[in-house]
Amino acid sequence: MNKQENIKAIEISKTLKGRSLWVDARRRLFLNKAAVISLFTLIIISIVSVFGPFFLQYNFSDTDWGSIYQPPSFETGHYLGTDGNGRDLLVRILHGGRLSLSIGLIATFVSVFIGVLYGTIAGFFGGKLDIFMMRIVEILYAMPYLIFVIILMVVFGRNIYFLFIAIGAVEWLTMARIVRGQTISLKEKEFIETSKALGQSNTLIIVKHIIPNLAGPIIVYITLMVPSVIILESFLSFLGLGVQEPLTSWGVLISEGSREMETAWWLLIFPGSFMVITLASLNFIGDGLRDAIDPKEY
Amino acid sequence: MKGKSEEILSVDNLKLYYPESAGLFKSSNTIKAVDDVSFKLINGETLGIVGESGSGKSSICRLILNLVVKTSGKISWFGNDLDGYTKKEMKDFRKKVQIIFQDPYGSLDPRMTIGSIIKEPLDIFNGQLSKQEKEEKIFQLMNDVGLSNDLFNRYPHELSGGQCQRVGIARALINEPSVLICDEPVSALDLSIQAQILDLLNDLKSKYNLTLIFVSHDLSVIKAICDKVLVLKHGIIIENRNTDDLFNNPKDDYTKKLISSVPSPIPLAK
Amino acid sequence: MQSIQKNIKNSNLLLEVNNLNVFFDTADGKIQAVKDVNLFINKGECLGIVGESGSGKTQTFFSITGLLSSNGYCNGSAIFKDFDLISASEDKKREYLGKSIGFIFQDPMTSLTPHMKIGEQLSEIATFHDNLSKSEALKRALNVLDIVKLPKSRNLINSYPHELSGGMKQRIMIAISLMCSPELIIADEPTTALDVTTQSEILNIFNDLQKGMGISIVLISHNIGVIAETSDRVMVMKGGKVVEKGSTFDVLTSPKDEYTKHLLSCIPPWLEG
Repeated sequence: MNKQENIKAIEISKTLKGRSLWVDARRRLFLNKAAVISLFTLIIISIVSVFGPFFLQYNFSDTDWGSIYQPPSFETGHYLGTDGNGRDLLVRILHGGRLSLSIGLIATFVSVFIGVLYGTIAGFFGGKLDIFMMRIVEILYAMPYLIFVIILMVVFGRNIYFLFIAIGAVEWLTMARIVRGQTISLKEKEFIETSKALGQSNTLIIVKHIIPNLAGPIIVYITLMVPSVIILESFLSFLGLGVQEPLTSWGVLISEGSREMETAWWLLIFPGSFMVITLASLNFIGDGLRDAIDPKEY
Repeated sequence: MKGKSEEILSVDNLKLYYPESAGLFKSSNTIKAVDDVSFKLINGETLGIVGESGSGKSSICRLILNLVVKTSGKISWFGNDLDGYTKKEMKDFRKKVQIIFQDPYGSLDPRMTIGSIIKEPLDIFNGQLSKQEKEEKIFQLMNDVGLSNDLFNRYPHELSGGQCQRVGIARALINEPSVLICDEPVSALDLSIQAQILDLLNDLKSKYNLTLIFVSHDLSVIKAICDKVLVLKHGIIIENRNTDDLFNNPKDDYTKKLISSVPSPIPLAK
Repeated sequence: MQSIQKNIKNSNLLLEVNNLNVFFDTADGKIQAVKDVNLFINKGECLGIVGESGSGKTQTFFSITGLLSSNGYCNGSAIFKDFDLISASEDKKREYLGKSIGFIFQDPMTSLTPHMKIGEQLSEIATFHDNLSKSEALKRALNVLDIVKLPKSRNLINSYPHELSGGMKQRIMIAISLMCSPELIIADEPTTALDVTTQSEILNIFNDLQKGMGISIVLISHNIGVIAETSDRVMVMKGGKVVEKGSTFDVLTSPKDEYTKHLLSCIPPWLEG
């Protein structure tokens, strides 16, 4: 082959794409009915939470003393009823959704970022550094989390941003441990040894080889961490430590609803249902992702 | 300029000892993976290292490349003690001495395409080359090791074991090293593929002017391609001789036992 | 010609496999791993199966012994002493496997149960199949350890798999398969993971089992040397099919099939004699 033909052949070769492991995983995921349905459900809930309030006639903070504790009705426009202040429940649930979901995502993202950094460094370098770093994690794990949050809230006030920080500050510990374990087992693989033998710098080995190969387990843990973050936030809100009025979250709504349970059942059932459906969906997606990314058939 | 029979790598009194993990009531034993090993590597030869499991043969490879820190001993490259090397000199050493491993799939990052895998050493040592120049080199290496161009964007799991091993070889040779250490490179491959890869290594050895260190537990392979052989047992060199001498006239009982244990593919007439 | 030979050997015939096909349902569609395989094994003989990866050599014997994975299925017949193993029910298959037919896997590291002592693993199979009491089973275990040339020590009986070397573990595997006096042992790459000196010892044990105890052996290996030293007859497989079969001497010294010739040419030359 002369040089012209050679170059042309090479150009054609470069257009042929391989079938990466992600493509395989995606195909397996879409075969999982529960995961696909959950994915749709989650997307719908997210879209409705973000855009829904614009289409509804009521505002989440509008009080209406003439219509307090109204059961769900189609005529009044309060499709899911009202609460003790006459505020429309549906709008409040959607706003609550915005908050719960964004806390879920943001706090998880923060904890993943810190956890991955911490875990890969501890796992990759090992030795005394690893021991030291993990002792810190263990000590922090042992601290009574709730007291820490209460102190934070008392000292800095009930600012929503501190809620993010408080939650993220706890979840990163789990992520760091998981990432460290995965890094340690990855480190033993021959392609990592080869990179070292090639003279690759440690930083680049971590960035180019370790982290992309951690992505699988990390993604799975993210989908399982988001529900746990949402529950955590709800728990804090339930205790009255969460978001402040008039902002609301599903946790706050459930907290209020549980108090009015006997007279105004809709105040508990509807927020509760939204929460349960979302968390169940996240769990199904997480299971589906785990089976897709780490198939045991082979 | 390397002389024809110049000594390029010299290993003196190399030791790798590490404590066995001690139980609550057991006292800790010392495992002597490599126990006072000394040998020289001559330019242009293929040096075989043969031994059973636990002989230390793989540890020696890793010690030469400083992937594992030695307990004591001296490794010299062209007469210079590696201990005295600066970071830059060490990086330069890594460019000259490369390695391929046993597990063809394990040696490749499953998330990277073949093209990126072979490109990595270029990025490390020849970062100044243009994208075009790098690609040209990659395709040239793929050609040399017998990989078709189409595989450039494919992933390791889409290739056969033999093809993956070729990728590993291409990656090791792209920066034109002087020494190639082969740690059981064909043990995980089918028989017909073994033969292909061994032939390939022989061809590349002359084309790239390589000196090879070939580690294996398979005596027939060692006999077929090595000029000199080190026989290792429990971290100690039992024999260090020319291949023909060793197989025709084994001196040590262990060597004799090894040779007689190899099942002959020629059946006795029944 | 062949059927006459088989008829003459009929009283000696232990296993006869006819038209065996094995399929797998995978994400990429239906794959046929074994294509129309016919073979037979006589009492007291050793049949070697040679092939590279993907040749179907392992799946052939997995299907006969009911060890196929859940997405695999097979058709054909595998008559073991007047009993068709393929069409048998799960319970019937279990009666034969472990009792009359022993199976030895490639990797001794993972074949033994890590949390059970060796003595227990040996006796378990005898108490299950032959309804022996624990003490009777233990007595038999000590006999069997003798056959595989392991010391009959109390230490060994009470140790755990991880405390033993690869070679010892493989001997234990052979010992376990001997516990119920099998007539056929199928060994799938039994020495591939072992050192060459250990391999030689294990092959000697197989020779003793065959010549000394009259147990038929199927030895699956990609190592021609292993086959040459142990097998009376050999079958070469490629792509799920049998490409050549005959006496070991004939096939290895004067191969007829192109693939067999190619395979033999890939062996690095070894010492003469």
